[in-house]
Amino acid sequence: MNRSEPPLLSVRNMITSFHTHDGIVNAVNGIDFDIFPGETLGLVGESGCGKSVTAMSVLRLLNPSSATTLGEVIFKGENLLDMTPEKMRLIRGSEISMIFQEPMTSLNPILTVGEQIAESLRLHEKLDQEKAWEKAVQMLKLVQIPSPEIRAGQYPHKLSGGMRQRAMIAMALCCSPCLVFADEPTTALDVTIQAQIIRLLDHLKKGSNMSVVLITHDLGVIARMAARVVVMYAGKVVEEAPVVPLFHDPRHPYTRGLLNSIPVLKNDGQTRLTEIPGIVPNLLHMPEGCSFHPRCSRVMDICTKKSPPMVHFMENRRAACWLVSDE
Amino acid sequence: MNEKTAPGPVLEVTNLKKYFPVKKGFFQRTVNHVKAVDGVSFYLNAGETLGLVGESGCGKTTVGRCVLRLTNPTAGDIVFKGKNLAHMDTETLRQVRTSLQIIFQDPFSSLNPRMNVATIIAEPIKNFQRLSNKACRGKVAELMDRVGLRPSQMYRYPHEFSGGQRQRIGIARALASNPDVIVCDEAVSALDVSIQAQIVNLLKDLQTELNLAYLFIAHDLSVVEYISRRIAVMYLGHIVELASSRELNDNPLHPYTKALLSAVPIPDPLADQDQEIILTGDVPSPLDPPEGCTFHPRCPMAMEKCRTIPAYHEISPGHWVACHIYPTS
Ligand SMILES: Nc1ncnc2c1ncn2[C@@H]1O[C@H](COP(=O)(O)OP(=O)(O)O)[C@@H](O)[C@H]1O
Ligand SMILES: Nc1ncnc2c1ncn2[C@@H]1O[C@H](COP(=O)(O)OP(=O)(O)O)[C@@H](O)[C@H]1O
Ligand code: SF4
Ligand code: SF4
Ligand SMILES: [Mg+2]
Ligand SMILES: [Mg+2]
Repeated sequence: MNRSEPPLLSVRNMITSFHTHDGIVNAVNGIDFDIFPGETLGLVGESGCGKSVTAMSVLRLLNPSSATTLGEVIFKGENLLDMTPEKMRLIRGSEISMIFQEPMTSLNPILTVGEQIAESLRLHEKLDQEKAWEKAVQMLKLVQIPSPEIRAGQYPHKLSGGMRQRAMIAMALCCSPCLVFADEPTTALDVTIQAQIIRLLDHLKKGSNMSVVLITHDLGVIARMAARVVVMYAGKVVEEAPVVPLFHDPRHPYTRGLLNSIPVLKNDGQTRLTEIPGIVPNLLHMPEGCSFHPRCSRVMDICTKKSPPMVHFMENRRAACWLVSDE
Repeated sequence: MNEKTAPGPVLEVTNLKKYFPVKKGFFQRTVNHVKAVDGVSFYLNAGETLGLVGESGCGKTTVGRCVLRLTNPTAGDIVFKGKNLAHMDTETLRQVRTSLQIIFQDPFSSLNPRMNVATIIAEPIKNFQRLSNKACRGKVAELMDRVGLRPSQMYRYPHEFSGGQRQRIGIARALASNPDVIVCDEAVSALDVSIQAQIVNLLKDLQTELNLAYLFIAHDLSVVEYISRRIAVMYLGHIVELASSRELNDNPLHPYTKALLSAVPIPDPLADQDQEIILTGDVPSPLDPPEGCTFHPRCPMAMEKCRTIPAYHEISPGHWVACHIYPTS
């Protein structure tokens, strides 16, 4: 990561709301974060806290008839949220791309794996048919798919889960993007295959200046891959820190709760897990004050009334909790 | 001492096999078999948890379904409290089955969306006991309370509950018929860690209180190690290693177990990641399993001998392994 350079992407006060039958809900409720060139930023939080919506909003993949995104997403000096859909389409896939949890939903079932990658190369890199196919096979080789020439001619359903995820990665990386959003890229895979994919992502990142936003609820994967971590709760950023202090000196009670609830290997079989009581609040009925207060073990009077401000401390850390001061 | 606390296995499975026929052509001739489970043996003591781990497709769910006779085993014995379920007529089986229950991964798909919670939970009770409506409601309320649900939500529908709460509904339903054994098939796998911790704690409390035995199936080793006293590791329809949780973690023997353990990402950025053993390739198809030790195409330790089947044997008290590195003495 290079923090002396300006950020590659800056999200400022981004709000994404959905128009539902029961009213308007803010799935992302005013978040800020930066991504620097070459870094892996982890985005964690329980399901439903707004991680995917954040990525989809930045990439403008949400249906504009049901979702509205406000705020700023500055990428190379321009606000992506103001860009024409045509220009955005060109940026997606070439400069910024996305890897999804379930490749079957994002790979086209009626095109062979090679055709899909080649198509993207023709569109973005303006390669001719033959060159595009050649590069597609090369990409499949790069993601370590055995017999890439044969696999390129196969349909996605012919591939195993791990192989499909590799093909998805090949597709996301074929135009050498500078930023990739990976949304739960290993969640649907067995641990042994997950380890292969993690190793592959590491390998692909090495030597390139590509930035990755790694979205996952698996703190083990975050510890293994991310340099910096943003923790989200109920559509907001509650804490941000470099990965080591986040795991070894978490400040927000929510971050602590998440870390404490992980079952550790080598336990004596007797100790109870520390749970976070209750569940993520319904977006239609958000609690007053700190949205974590109904589940917080340290809740105080003020927490139920006033939302805590974001406090910046120690140069590169921040947290939104009444217990945190800027020392 | 009552029956429930008597020592000794409540469930003993011996040489269990389940082959699924693969049919082809107009006449649906059987052309091959998927050997989903191919000679699995284990026992489960009352009040104990046995973990069952392995990559997807290795046969964990099929073992669970055979134990409940939700599917008929191809061969083998399933002895539950001294009675062999494998050879039981349907009427006797129907009665015994109340003592064996299952909880699934996705409570959403396993709960009937058109039934309210009270009906879902009461279904097993109604089947096995003749209760008045009032008594039944009382029992449902008691069960809901026990698993941490508000009895006032009895008449709501599954979609109105969160994932963790739906799992609680599944647990309440499983408890309704006072079972001795519950098969938990990936019961906490889809939940966030925070909610997973709630459900794991609940399962542990219920176990202590009701002396339940769990067959705890999961692909996440850290949860399994957490909840289980002993763990069986499966690969392509076989148990390749079985030991106490502690022993398996401190002294794993089988190369597959070592790879599985090392693949679990440690939730600590300062942890040493160099220990990682990366397996190449995917699990082979159980339609056409490799000859000899089925793990040999992916095994970093494979040798000439591995073309023959290694014996599954007890290498130290309670520690079983099937691998040529550890010869039978
Ligand atoms: N299309 C949509 N319409 C309405 N609500 C949505 C839609 N997509 C997501 N949401 C809601 O937004 C919230 C955040 O969802 P998401 O970003 O998918 O969470 P995460 O990825 O952290 O699990 C959830 O409460 C979800 O129900
Ligand atoms: N009803 C069935 N018919 C044919 N094959 C099956 C059936 N059920 C499971 N299998 C096969 O048996 C093997 C073991 O499956 P399963 O027990 O579900 O594994 P696991 O639960 O470990 O993922 C897999 O190869 C699967 O495809
Ligand atoms: S502000 Fe209050 S309720 Fe919110 S996390 Fe901090 S202590 Fe807990
Ligand atoms: S028997 Fe051979 S191939 Fe199989 S696990 Fe042992 S060393 Fe590996
Ligand atoms: Mg998501
Ligand atoms: Mg299964």
